[in-house]
Amino acid sequence: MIFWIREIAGWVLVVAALVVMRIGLTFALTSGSPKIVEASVAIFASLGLLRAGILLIRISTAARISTLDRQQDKSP
Amino acid sequence: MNQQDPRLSPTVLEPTHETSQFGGLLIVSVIASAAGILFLLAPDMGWPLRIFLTAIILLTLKYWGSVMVLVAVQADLFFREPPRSAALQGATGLFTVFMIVALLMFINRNRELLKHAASRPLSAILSLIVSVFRGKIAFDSGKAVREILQMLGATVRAIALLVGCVFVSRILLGTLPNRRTLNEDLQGWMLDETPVLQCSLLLTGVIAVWVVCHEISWRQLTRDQARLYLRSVFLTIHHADLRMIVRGRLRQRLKAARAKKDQKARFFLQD
Repeated sequence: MIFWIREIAGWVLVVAALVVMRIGLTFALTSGSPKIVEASVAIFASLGLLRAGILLIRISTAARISTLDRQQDKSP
Repeated sequence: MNQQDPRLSPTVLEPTHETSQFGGLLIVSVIASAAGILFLLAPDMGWPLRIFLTAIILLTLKYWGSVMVLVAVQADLFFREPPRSAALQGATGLFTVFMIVALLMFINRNRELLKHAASRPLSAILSLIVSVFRGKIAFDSGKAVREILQMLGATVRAIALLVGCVFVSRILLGTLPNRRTLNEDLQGWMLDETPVLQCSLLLTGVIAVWVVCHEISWRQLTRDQARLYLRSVFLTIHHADLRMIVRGRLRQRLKAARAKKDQKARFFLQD
């Protein structure tokens, strides 16, 4: 169960990262007055969120594979 | 997650080409298909130059995979424009795109085989092919049937992926301005904010698809790979000092091994 919670948290972080990234891109691509500094801050934050989310997903997947295989080894 | 019978499938440490019944055939098909596509490019160029460039690209397949083939195709397209060749329009053009993308996928899929082939002399590969045709190599028919079934499954998956990739690319590229409507589209972009917002949405969508595809491929982990990753992450996060010590010791061992090798080489030269 803890693996699933961790995986869901990871996906939530990834989605949040994408939302922040889109906000950053909108800042940068505004043709009237592009806000480059704000965009770079938003993109930097989104990359941090993306990295954390992907790490959580990968750890939960790897842990689940290890646990499942251990259970299969124990069962006759 | 990959639930495979360890008796049937190679382990993480055992390369596929060591156990595959079709290793030699795959090597030859990768090289032949890459050479075939490369010879079709730049028809106006002289044969000696085409052979020279093809040889260079084939020799670098080991290091670059399909990147150099893609660069050659892009360069050919660049120098053909304008006018665009009739071979790249309509159904023929679509078929050409399918063939090129399939080749790129095929080369990337068999990179380990290419590395293995490049580490052996050409005569060894030729003798392998000759010995297969002469029946000198023990051919396990049961294993071959299992491999054929696996290859069929992989082919069906690859075709589905290929069709998806090509059609999604066509849709995405269709949203970009083309040469006829470039000026009107650029004016629209300058005056209206909506396409810019669509562009940011498109970029975010591409990143989302990229993340999802990577995570799907991540789920093909074997048990050994999963354990190795967990240990590595645990060490990185919780024991950075221990990691530093281990890396330092590994560096020392590498230096010692290099020194030993140099010493042996010196003795060999003195003898």
